[in-house]
This record gives sequence, structure tokens and C-alpha cells, in this order.
Amino acid sequence: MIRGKLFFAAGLLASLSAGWLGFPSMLYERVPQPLDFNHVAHTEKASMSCQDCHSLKEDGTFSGIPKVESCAACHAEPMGTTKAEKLLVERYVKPQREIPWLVYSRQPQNVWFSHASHLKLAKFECTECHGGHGKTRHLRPFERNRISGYSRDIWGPSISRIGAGRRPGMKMDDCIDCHRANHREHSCIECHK
Amino acid sequence: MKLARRDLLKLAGGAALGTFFTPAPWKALDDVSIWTQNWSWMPVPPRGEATTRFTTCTLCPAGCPVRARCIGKQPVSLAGVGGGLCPAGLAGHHLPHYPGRVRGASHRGTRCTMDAAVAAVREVAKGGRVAILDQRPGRTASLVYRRWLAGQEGGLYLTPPAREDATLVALGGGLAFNLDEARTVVSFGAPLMEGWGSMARVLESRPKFHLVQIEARQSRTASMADTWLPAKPGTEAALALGLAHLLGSQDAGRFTPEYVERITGVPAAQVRQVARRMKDAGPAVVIGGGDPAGPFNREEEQAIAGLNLLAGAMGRTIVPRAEVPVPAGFDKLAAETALDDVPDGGIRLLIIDEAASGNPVPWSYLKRKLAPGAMVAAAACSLDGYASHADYVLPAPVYMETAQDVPAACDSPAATFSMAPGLLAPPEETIEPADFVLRVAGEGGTLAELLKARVEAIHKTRRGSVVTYADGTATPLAEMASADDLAKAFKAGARWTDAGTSSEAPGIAFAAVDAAAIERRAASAQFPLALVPFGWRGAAGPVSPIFSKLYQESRVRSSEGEARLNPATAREYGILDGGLMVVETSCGSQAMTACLDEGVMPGVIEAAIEPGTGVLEICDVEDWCGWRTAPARMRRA
Repeated sequence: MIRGKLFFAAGLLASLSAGWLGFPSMLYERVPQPLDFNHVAHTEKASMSCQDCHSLKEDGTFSGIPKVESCAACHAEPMGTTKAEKLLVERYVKPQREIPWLVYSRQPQNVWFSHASHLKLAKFECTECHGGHGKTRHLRPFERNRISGYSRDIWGPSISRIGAGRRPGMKMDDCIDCHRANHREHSCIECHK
Repeated sequence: MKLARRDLLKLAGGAALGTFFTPAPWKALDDVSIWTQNWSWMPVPPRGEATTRFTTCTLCPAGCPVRARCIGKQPVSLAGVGGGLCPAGLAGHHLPHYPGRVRGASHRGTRCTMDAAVAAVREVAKGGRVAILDQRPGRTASLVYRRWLAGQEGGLYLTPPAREDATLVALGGGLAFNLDEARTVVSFGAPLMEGWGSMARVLESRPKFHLVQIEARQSRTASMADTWLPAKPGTEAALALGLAHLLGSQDAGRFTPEYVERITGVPAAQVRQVARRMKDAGPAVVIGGGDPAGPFNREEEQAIAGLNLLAGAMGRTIVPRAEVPVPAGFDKLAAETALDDVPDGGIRLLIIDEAASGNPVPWSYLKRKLAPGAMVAAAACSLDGYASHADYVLPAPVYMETAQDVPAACDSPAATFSMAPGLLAPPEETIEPADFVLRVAGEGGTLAELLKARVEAIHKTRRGSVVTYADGTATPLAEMASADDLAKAFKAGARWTDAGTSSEAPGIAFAAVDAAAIERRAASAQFPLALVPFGWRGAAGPVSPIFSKLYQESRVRSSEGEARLNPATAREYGILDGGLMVVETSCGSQAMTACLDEGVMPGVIEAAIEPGTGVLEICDVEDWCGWRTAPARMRRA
């Protein structure tokens, strides 16, 4: 009888460990960014603001990550001796090749998200969704979901999505929760164009 | 220690139980579902830099300005300009991916070349008795049809009877509603608040007028009206004559409010109240029809339209409107023929322009007008509608695939013209229905060339102004140096509006209403059950899958094959909510799913028209060109 309980408990513990510890590490692969970008160096040393690179265009669309020609305005020649600086100039700026950034917050292609309405109408700060990304010295690796292909940031850092703060991720449920909390009307077709 | 089978089972049982208390199965399920959304064969919007283009929606007569967000040349989302856009318009860019899309010309289900289709249709056309059913009259393509038919022996230009401007047609045509001047609007089933005319104009004028909705169904317009008079289905014209009687008509002598109450079920006091409002709280306007599901018949529409003469609407809330200038070469055009006037078996060749989804006509009714062995050629983008009955199916482009013009809506007091440029390349074999007719006629040229000529004709007038969608600026047409400049403005998104509106009262000698016929019909409408089809703009055409799925699940749209019943009626026939039932009329029967709704009038079966459901096919159009209601019975399936 005790022997049976022990085997049962062993199976239970093994699956709990696998599910809580092994599964998350197996699910995501860590992919390095093509370039180690230093946000702090740009905002503090070069006195740039977030909007200098990530701005809303005249027609209200969000510019996203700047193209390499924007980088070339300052980095036509290396501005330091770091490995990242050398890589930027030699691999991307001089051959005018776009940097294949891995976007942490990239949504599925059937989702339409308006930065303009969230920034201008809802008066959101960038940090409310993107956290302290603008104050980092190094880019963290992109954690790619091996099944869906999306970033871990979409699901959120906590695998259980329990107790991870007001906005644990960038899934549809998170959008809906926030809209409900702020008493904003929403319908399917607003985002699913 | 030796492992027994029982130990392994216990281990597996513990592991299985434990798994359910980890995020692994739930997260894996979520990820797999996302993975299935990204299969390579699924059409997905491209990635890239976004640009904005402007166009005009051609999915319904409203012709709303549209802002299209494009990646490369591909529109990935649509929005209104300076206002909203209806759900159909918002999902308009999905239509090129419609699953039932017609991809090539076919003859009775077998692929054929376009040349073969043109030659076959041309051969049959030589014998005369040719008809074209134009689902969206008033376009430049319509001019092409009418010019060709004028030269054909017995050429008939047909339009759907269930038109938004049916009242204006009954008054003689060349007119428009001017809701901005109206203080009382009496609507006989016109869906004013859910898709009629230009929604922007209706909503802008709405605070200024008192809306009286006369309709058996508790539609959204009825719910939003100031006064709702739920007349029994099929008795609306009797109510119109009751109002005419109170407004002093000699034709409606017998239709006292008390008599009308007996027929329609609307209390006499309410009839008197509405008549008083029309007299004292004018200017009033009376709008009949416009419900995409079915028209009034000619006598009913005449009775309703005639109220406008009694209410003094002419020249105030109904005004003459000039036509949009027409290029040279369109001097001789075939007049519109009412379907009712076409003798049974009178058509040898029927060409249907189904590219612009309009208000459907039951196929059973059209079929009756065909001679034995008649040929039907349908230019359609999907096989859901008439194409399934046609001998020749011609693949037509959908919204945004080719340049189209958008005529003025029925509530625009001034003539307007705008264009929807082709933002997307159509599939290789598609053909504009007008281009097909031009090829059959052997006239040469294309619709695109005729649109260019029409823009030149507008420019020659030097009248009116052009408003650009991008910034809302109005430029007097006289300041535009050339027709090319005007064409460029249309291509970039603009609308031309003719100068001024006329307040001249049109001299209309109205035909006497056949009150006796209406009385007979109203009396025959006292059947135990009435099948009342209903629909929304474009209901018979293809809709985006997202529109069907999300809006049907949330019950904003009725599902296919669904019948709405009052719970009391359902109880009487032993039908349960969600149960299967069979609706029978003199024209046939159809299985439907019951949906119980307190808002439905007892004794009424409401059924939504959808592509392919065929509810219109069992509606009775036996002796009058109207199918708003049909005597019916039902039983549990």
C-alpha cells in the first residue's frame, strides 16, 4: 500500500517538476540579437529621446524600429572601439543592409495595434507595455517559442501567468483586461482587421 | 526492488495527475493553436512599411470614404475618414480571399474560355429579348448596359425592386430625399438607422427629426425610432391609406382610423397622432421600402409615396436632383423596366451583374420570366448567388480590385461622383461585367476608358466642388486646370458634389391609388402565420469570414437558416428554442432552427437572408412583385 503511494507520489513530483521547471526551459530557445544595442549610451551620452528613433509618423502610424539609414546619420564611421560598433558599421551601415532585429513585442499578423491611440488618447507611457527596455545597456536574448514562433514577451515572463503584475504579457486577454479595467469599449474587428 | 506492473501504473497515474497541475498542457495547447494560424497556405498580411491610401467603399450605395492602411500595395486594414465605417466596410479587404471565389469562366460547371462565353452570349443575343439585371443601378457600368439594350430588339434593363429609392422611383425618378430639412420622417420599413442612404448624413440629420417607424419587426431602426407602429405584416399600405384619409385624400375614403386599426392592429389614436404630426410638425417625408429583404409591390409603394404629396414634401424634403454628367455617345439609353412588367417566359438571354452586391430578387421569380431554354450569364465573384443557376459564370472582380464609380446615395440632395481606384490586382481571368457586355456588343473600349470620359464630362461643367478625403479641403471644380487633375484627385480619394440643391417643387401628377386592391390584399394578409424575411445591406453577397464568424457568434447577425419566433407562437406549435422546424409556404419548404425572441410579433416567422440560404425562394411572389411577407405554416421537424 505504502509502496503504491510512493510510486504515485514519485510520478506526481516528477511531472510537476517537469511541467514547472523543465517545460519552460525546453519551450523557449534563446536567440541572440544581431547586434548588442545600448539604449543608455544613446539616451544619456548622445542626449537622444525615445521619440528620435521610435516616433509616430504624420499619418499616425508608428515608425517602429528605425531603418539603418537612421543609424548611418551618426554611424557612417565607427564611433568607438566596441565589437558591436564595428559590427554595425561593417555589416549593416556600409553595405546598407537592414538589421534583422528580433522584436520582443511582435504580434501575430492578424492583429492590428494602434500605437497612436494608446499614446495620444490613452496617454500611456512606453514603459507600461515595454517595461524598462529603454534603460538597458545590453539587449537581452530573444526567447523564441519553439511551437508558435513568437517571443516570450507575448505570453509574459511567468509561465503560469499568475501573480505577474497588472500586465503579465501582450496576449489578447491582456488587451481585454486592460480595456475592461479602463472602461474602454472594444470589439473584435477593432484589432482583427 | 523489482518493478511490478502495478507500480508503473501508479507512477503513470501520479505523473498524469501532476501534469494537469502544471502549465505544460495548457500552454502547449495555446501555442499549438497559434501555430495553426501560421500555416504557410493561409493568407496573411505582409510585413513592411505602412502607407495610407484613400478610396470609396463600393459595397453598398452609401459610398463612404475609406482610409486604407497598406503594406506595399496590399491593404491590411480599413477605416472611415472623419467618422466610422460599418463592419462590412471594415472587413472589405478580406473579400479577395473569399473561399467561394469564382476564379475562371465556366459553362454549366465546366471551365471555358472567356472568348467562348462571349461568342455564345453574342449568338443568343442576336435573337432579341435580352435582359440585364443590374444589381447597382446608377453607375457608369449601368450606362453601358442601357446603351447596348437600347439597340437590342426587346432589350430590357432590370433593376432590383427592393431599392432604397423605391419611393422616389414611384414618384417618377430624378429626385432625392433631403432629410436635413425634415422634421418628421415616417418610414415604412426603411432601415434608416441600420443602413440606408448615407449613414453619416442620416445620423447628422437625426437629432432634427421625429422618426415614426412602421414595421412589424422590432428592427434596430424600430428600437431607435421615436414612435414605432408595429403594423401586421402585409398591411402597411392600408396604414398608409389611413394616414392619407386623415390628410384629406379622396382616394382613401373607407380607410378611417378605426377601420385601419381592425386591419393593421395599430390603435386608431396612434394613427391620428402620426397624421397630426405630419400636418403640424413638418416638413415631413415618407419613405417606403429600402429593406434589402423585400420590396413593397407597386400599389403599396404608390400609396406610401403618395403621402409625400399630401404632406407637402415635394420641393422641401424631396427635391429634384440633376444627373451626373454623361459622356458623349450615351444619347440613347434603355429605360428601366419593372420586373412585374416582364411577361412570364419573356426573356431569352439574361445577363446578371452580381459583382456589386445589391438587393436580391428570388431566383424562382427570375426563373419565371425566362423563356424555355433561355440562357443565363452571371458575372459574379462567388458561386453563392445567381451564379449557381447560370449557364455561364463569369469571374467578376471584387471591391478594390478594379476602378469603380460610386453614384450619389438616395439621400444626397445634390449629384455626387466619387471613385474607388483599383488598389489590388484582380485574379488573372476576371472580367468587369461592363467589359463583358462591351465585348458582346462588339463596341470596343473598356469601363476604365469610359470612367475617364465621364470624369472629363464632369470637368467640362466647371460646376460644384471637389473634397479630398486626405485633408477634407474643398476645391471649386472651376479651379481645376484639367480633367487629368480631377482624375488624379479621384484616384487619390475625393468626391465631386454638384453646385447647390434645388428647392423647386417638381410637378408630379400622381397616379390614383387602387385602394380596393390594397384593401383586398390587406384582408388576405390575415393568415395565421407570416414569413417575414429580413436582411442588411449586402446580405446576399459574399462577406468576410471574420464578419460571419464573430458577428454570428455574438448574435449581432442572425445565423444561416435561423427562424426567429415569439415564444407564444413556438409554444402553440410545440417548438423549442434551438429546435429544428420546417417552414412551408405555397412555394416550398425549408428546414430552419428556431430562435425564440420576445421581440418578434406573435404569428410571425422572421428569417434572415444570407448567401445561399434560399429563404427568399420560398417567399410567395405569385401575383405581385413584392415579397416582404408570405403566408406560411410551420411544424416541428
